[in-house]
Amino acid sequence: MDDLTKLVIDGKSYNSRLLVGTGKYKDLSETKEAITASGAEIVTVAIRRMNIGQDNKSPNLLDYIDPNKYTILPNTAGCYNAKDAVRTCRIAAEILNGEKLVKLEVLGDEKTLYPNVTETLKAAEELMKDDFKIMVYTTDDHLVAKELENIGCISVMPLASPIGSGLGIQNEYNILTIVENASVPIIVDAGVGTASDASKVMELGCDGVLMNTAIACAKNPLLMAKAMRKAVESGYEAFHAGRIPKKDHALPSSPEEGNICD
Amino acid sequence: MNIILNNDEQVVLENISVSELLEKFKINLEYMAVEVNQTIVPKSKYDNFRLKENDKVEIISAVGGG
Repeated sequence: MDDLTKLVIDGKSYNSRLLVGTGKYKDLSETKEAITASGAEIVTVAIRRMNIGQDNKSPNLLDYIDPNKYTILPNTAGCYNAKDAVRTCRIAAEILNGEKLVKLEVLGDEKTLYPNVTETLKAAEELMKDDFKIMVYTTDDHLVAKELENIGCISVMPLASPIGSGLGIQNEYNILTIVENASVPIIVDAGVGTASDASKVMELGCDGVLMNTAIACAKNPLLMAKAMRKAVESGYEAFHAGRIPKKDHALPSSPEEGNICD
Repeated sequence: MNIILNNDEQVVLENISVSELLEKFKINLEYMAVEVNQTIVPKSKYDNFRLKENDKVEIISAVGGG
């Protein structure tokens, strides 16, 4: 009936092409409900110092997001150089009992949270020596995307616009060029604001979308999670259905023959 | 003796093991990691790994993030 396939990451296939973050929710219950509503199967987490103190009974994120049910994708958010990012990935693997799937992100500055490409490439090379499976956040530059792919990253994740900005795709031709040149899944990470942005990403032929703020900071996160689920599905299906060419004139949808209006 | 635990000074027993330290602070051993002076201590070594004065210990876990 159609030629739709599943998203395959590190040899595992996924029904959902929407990947979601777990930050910025009101509490862990809301996090869990939103993730369920989104239908996502790959869920990102951050790596941070544990709160040591009186309240060690406070619930752990992974009590709510079961690693046996979801693929947990630890990120290196907050790292501004390759050394810190590599260290964070090693810690993540220890936390997740040896799982080596990571989302590498090395940031350049606090204002834009733009990727530091030089340090990202360095970290990717280092992590490959340790057999990490790297999904990598980067700029929307197809040359860098290809280089990361050549190093061995299993997925390249260009930004649509800055993290948390909700500006949508700022340069769709760059994303298009990355998709055209890629042999690994291209997952747009960062910048999605609303459902149409997610659809647009998928209509460009991307393999998936990763988002956090757009859902978590919506007025109604659960409803937005549901909307994003549909947007990613419909955008993916529309891309594979093959859209009609754009024309600069109208073309009637109803037959001209037999028209009773003489 | 003094150690730095998650960036805070703590006074602990001389030569305390990682296991004893985690027990002291009632840390659940599931989905966490321990680093001493930026080197990961594997879970299998917690019983035998003894801390020294001024060691920098990090107890780390997964939290919400994007």
